[in-house]
Amino acid sequence: MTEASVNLTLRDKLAADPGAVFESVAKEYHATVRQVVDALPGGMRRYAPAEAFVDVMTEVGAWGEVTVIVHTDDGIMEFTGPVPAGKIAQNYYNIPGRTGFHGHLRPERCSGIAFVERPFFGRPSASILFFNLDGGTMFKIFVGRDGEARTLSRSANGVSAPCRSALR
Amino acid sequence: MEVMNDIATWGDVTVVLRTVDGCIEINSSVPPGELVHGYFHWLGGGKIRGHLRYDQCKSIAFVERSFMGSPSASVLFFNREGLIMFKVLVARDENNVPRENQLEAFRALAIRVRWPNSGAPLNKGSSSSSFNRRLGRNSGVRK
Repeated sequence: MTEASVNLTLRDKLAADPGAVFESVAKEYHATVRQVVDALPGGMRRYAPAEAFVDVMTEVGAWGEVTVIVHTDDGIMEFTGPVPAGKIAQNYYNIPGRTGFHGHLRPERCSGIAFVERPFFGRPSASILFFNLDGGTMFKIFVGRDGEARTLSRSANGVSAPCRSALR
Repeated sequence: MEVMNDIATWGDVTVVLRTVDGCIEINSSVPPGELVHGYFHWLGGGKIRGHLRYDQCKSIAFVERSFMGSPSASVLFFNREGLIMFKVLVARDENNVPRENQLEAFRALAIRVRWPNSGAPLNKGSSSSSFNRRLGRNSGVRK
């Protein structure tokens, strides 16, 4: 299959099933996660350049509880809690702290950022995907869900604000 | 499985996930889990959740060593390629040394699930290398 026909097939797939698990579709279609996100209906994803990495992460630092998801070949790990803002030092974005989430991320490995809003397992979801240089995801950040209502009240303000500034 | 569910009783630990894109660390207790379709699923609605490829795990190492000038104790889960799937670090106290109660649990677990002939017997107070031991799923060791 040519790349163009794979992309067309992917678009059909995502149009019919926009809540599909990106990694599973990527595997099935021998595509990258980034190609799969590209194939989402246009209204469901917006992009920011890799250079917005620090801006976006700093903004996320003010959101309170979010869910971070990391996919590797060895499994999926998820953390729910605040992701504090960090600082760049020696090419790493260092998130400080001794409790909860912290770490050392490599912005230089980021090739772009997608803001995705789509139904997922029957519920609205809003997430930020940080793509790496291989077309996979470094990690994803999901906007926290409100407990009972399961609405995404933050998404309207939270996701669009950095998206706007990043796309400026 | 046995190792993961034992760690679930330790309280707050540090889970470290290192990829080519960076190193993520989470300080949290980890919940017990269960095996379904080759995955070890962490249960419950705690801070940390996950679906880990149990069938990818080839061996487990218990390591005590000096790291960045401080004593450290960690459990390393190796995949089939010999790479680390993730690590669990014994929590440190306010003096930046591993918490004593967790260290005891760590050492007891290392002995209990020990791979025969995988290292010297546990010998408190000797050089750190004697603590290091490696476990494998093919030697009657349960995960």
